[in-house]
Amino acid sequence: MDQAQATPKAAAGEKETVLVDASFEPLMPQFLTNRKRDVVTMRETLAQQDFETVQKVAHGMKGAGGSYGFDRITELAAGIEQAARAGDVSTIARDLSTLDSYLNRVKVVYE
Amino acid sequence: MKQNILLVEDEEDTSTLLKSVLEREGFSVIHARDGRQATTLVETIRPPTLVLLDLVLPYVSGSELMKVIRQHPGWQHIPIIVVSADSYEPDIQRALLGGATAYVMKQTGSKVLLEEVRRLLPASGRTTPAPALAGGNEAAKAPSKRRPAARHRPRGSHKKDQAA
Repeated sequence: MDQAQATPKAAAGEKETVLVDASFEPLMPQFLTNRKRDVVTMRETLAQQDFETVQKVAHGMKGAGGSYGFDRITELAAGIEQAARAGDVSTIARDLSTLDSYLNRVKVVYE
Repeated sequence: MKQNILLVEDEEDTSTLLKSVLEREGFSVIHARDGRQATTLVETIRPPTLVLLDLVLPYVSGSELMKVIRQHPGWQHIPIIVVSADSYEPDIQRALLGGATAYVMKQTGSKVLLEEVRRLLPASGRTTPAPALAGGNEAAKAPSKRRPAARHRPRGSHKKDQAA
């Protein structure tokens, strides 16, 4: 049934579409709001060099993204988690920016 | 009578989703938000039919909690499905050897998890099914292209998220 197809990544500014089971529609606004909140939290804690909190938030985001079927969120959060473990500020900052952009562009379609 | 599932998950949206999916399937869900709360439940409530357990938890880790469950009379034969975002093979094997009955990755979606719940429930109350280690990773449900909750385009991948 559901076949996720790898397609070229959307260019900046272009919408990325995620198809979601209609039964999950009531949960989706909170899910997306919380992911945006996570980005803010990680930016704030990164500014304080608090890698432990960045790692913790990224881990939660990785799981939530996976549970809801947002593979791109999971992918970026996994990268941030790994970078936080290594104390790699520039990678975290770069991936947070990508994540922020993705969350602002993603379009959820219910089926 | 409804079958009870103890869900141990600290991430709010994930627990909301899993609770919703399980309740829709007719299960009664007891939710613990961290390892300490779950430990208290193990000491105070009747054993559930099944436990869904995240590994990375505040206060008491999922691995430590599995030890508590496996040593507790009445709980030691309850099936435990580890539901984790991590797909690092040694971690999966460690969880299976540490008391998990099965290991399901969050990326596989709720349908795979429900299949695993249904596979294990008929055996509950009799014996704990042996960890499925055949093939090295049989019990671990790897991310697949099947997306029961959602389909995503483009699909990303991360080396650490690929099951061996």
